[in-house]
Amino acid sequence: MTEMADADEPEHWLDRHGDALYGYAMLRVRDPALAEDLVQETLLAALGARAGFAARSSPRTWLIGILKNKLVDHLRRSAREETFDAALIDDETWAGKFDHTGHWSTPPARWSEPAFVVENAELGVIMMTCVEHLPEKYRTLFVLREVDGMGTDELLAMLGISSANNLWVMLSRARERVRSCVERSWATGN
Amino acid sequence: MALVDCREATQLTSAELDRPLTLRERIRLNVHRLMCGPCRVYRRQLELLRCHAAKLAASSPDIRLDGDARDRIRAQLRGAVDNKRGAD
Repeated sequence: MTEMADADEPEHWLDRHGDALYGYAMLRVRDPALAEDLVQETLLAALGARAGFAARSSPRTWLIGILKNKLVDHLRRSAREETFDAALIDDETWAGKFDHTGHWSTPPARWSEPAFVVENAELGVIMMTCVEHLPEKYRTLFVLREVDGMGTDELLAMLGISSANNLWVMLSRARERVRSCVERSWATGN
Repeated sequence: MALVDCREATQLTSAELDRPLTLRERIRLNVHRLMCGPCRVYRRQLELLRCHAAKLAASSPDIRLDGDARDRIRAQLRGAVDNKRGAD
C-alpha cells in the first residue's frame, strides 16, 4: 500500500495508526474517553487537511503532529477552569525524606550499575509504569517537560501557572515521585 | 556563604534541569556535592530518568483502542467522508 492510497482512505489511518494515537494521548491524559475523543478529532481534522498530506514523509508523524495540537488546545482549555497551581497544596512528595537537619533520612540507593546504562530497556518499562501512576497534574508536567522536552516558558503560558518558581517546585516533585517509584520497583524486582 | 543541606541540594539539582543556576547557587551546590555521595547519586538518577523519558517520546504505552470506540470513530469518519463527497 502506498502513501497515496493511505491518504485516500482515512479509515486506514484508524486501522494503522489508531492504537498509536490512542497510546500517545493516554500517556498525556489519563481519561480513556477523552483520549478517544482526541483521536477522533485528530482523524477528522486530518481528513479536512488531507491536501497538505501528500508532501509528508510519514502519515504517523503527520497524524501525531495534529494530535499534539489537539492536546495542547485541550490543556489550555482545562487550565482556564482549574489552575495547575492547585497541585502545590497539601503535597507529601518530600514527607519523611529528610531528617530535621535537612539531610537524607533514606539516601537515594546507588542503583545497580546496569541501571545506569541508558540502553537498559527494563528501566524504561519501570519508568513508564511509574509515570502512568503519577497524580494527573504531575504526570502531565513530567511528560510535557521530560518526554516531549517542552520549554518551561511554553509550559507556564499553556498551563496558566502563576510563577516560574511554582513550576520548578512542581517539576522537582514530579521528578522525585518518579525517581522514588523507580527506586522502589527496581529494588523489589531485582 | 551558608552551606546547602540535602533538602536544598535536591531542589537545585532539579532546577538545574529547568534553568541555568546562578553562580552562587552553582558554587554552593558543587561544594555540597563534593561532600555528599547521596546527592551525587541523586543527580545521576534524575539525568538518567531524563534520558529514558526522552526515549518514551517515540514509543507509546502498549494499549489498544477499545472496539466500541473504534467503531464509533469509524462511523464518524465515514459520515465526514460522505458529507465531503456530497459537497464536492
